[in-house]
Amino acid sequence: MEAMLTIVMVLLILLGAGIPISFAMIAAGITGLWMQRGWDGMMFLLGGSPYGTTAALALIVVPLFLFMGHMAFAAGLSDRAFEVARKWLGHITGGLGVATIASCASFATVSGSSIATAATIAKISIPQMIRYGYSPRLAGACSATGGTLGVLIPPSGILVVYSFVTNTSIPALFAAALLPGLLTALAYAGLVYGLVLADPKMKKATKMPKVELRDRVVSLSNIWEVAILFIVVIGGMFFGLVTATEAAALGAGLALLFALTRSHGSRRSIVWDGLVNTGSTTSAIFLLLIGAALFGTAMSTTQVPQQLAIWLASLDVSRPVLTLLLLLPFFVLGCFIDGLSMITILMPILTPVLLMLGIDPVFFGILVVKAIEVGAITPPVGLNVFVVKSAVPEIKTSDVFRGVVPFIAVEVLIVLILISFPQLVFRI
Amino acid sequence: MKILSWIEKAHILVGSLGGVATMIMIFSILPDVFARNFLGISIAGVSEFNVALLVTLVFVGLAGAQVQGSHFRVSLIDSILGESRAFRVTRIFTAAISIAIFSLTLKATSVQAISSAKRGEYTFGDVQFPIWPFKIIVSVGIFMLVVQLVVDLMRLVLKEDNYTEQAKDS
Repeated sequence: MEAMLTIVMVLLILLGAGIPISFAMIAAGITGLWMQRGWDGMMFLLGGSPYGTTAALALIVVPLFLFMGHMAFAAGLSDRAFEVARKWLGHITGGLGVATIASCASFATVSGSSIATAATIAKISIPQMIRYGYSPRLAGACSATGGTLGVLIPPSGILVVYSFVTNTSIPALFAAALLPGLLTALAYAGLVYGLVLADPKMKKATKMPKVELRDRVVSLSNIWEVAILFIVVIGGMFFGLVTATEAAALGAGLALLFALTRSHGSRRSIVWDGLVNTGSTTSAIFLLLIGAALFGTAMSTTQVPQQLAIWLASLDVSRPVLTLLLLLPFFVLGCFIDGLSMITILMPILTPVLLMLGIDPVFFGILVVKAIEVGAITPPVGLNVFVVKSAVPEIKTSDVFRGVVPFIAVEVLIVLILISFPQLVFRI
Repeated sequence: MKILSWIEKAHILVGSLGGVATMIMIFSILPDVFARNFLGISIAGVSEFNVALLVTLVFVGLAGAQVQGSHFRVSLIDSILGESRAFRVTRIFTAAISIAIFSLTLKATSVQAISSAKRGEYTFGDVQFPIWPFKIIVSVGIFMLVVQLVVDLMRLVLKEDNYTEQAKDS
């Protein structure tokens, strides 16, 4: 118990002092291992962990999916996805808002990132929504919350990291995320429809003319790249034609081809920027994984996760309540730290607990991502809200934070639905 | 101090070259996918080669990621302390702690890299791929990170960091 308290104290003090999360986790891991295994044991584990954690075939997908997202953006797929959604949905009540959600869902199938999705769609959708009479509050909220679909709808970078930390299969997580992703997009769209319908002034001001059916059908030809990427990456994986690594390489290669043929401006700088950003982000993610590995090893030697599981099992509560209890830290921490860090800090402790309690880690992973979605739009950190603000500086941060409140309620409702009906999360 | 800027530029450049590893991964995995699906043969050593590339990409990019501020952190303290003296003291404290953490990690990984090189460590399996050069790359990458952390600390002590520049501008 003393070792566990020391590990947690070191972690919290360093995080509070503003040290990078991966550095703090390595420091906490070193402290715990030194206390439990002695100096030589700690040095042996510390020396082997950086190479041992990184040299994993399954993790090659991380830089490949990151690069695919960069190239998809450079190819202008987000712009075209929004244009197609606007043509098909613009004329219905709250049409542009619904189109924003639909284009976020569409771009999420190729980007794998919440921030990238929110930033790219916000730039296109918010100015148009405000011009057509939507309140800045709703316009900002649509992009900020729609962007969160990027971490749920596969391929999701967060799910890749979750799979590594919890030792679950990437295709299983991607398959499990499909229906909840679709359900979330539909719920967001329904909420936008309802909010505009309930506001007669906005309902009248936001009416747009209906685009001819022929034009709408023709517009679909502008997003064939999105369809191809989705079929090749997700379809290839689900039908067992390719492994996750191969699917990621195919997706990255195709996205590179689309960026080279469809983007405007210097192609060399587009590819170079994509490679530089991919390299830098990959290094940061892997340092987190190394920290999580050391932290997890230190925590497991304290036997605290096992004791926590025994204590939870002794509580006279149902499985759904237990799941909700385990999910609670993600909702609280999500207000202060990003999803990737939350997974690397909490899952090494919670995975043994889940296994001992008989809760499926794949199912729990989907709930964790839902909690991360909430964290991405909740103050004070609310990363997506700040991303939207930096993409569209005219919009007020406070407006976006107010606008996302009903979306948070919908998110919590979806989490409760998923816990009540776990069959909505497919298993393969 | 110009030398600090040169070190930072060198770290970004080396990190960028690491990014090129992503491109090599794509063009080494794709022929294997096609060969396996259409010709029914597998190119030996592709997995081992790509794992080695991944290790290279991660560790040569660590220092560059530090320069670019890519390492995830809780930024709550920045908004609470603002650009005060307490903030500077905290930053110096965290920089010193970071140097200590990674100096220890450097020592631990170097011991294992030297041992691996002496033994000429290889992977087990169909293809015998050398591991020891990549264990050395791990240590080199962590060494570059330690150097960058020392640069960050020097900038803080000399008041040449971004925070001081922002305060001067405002």
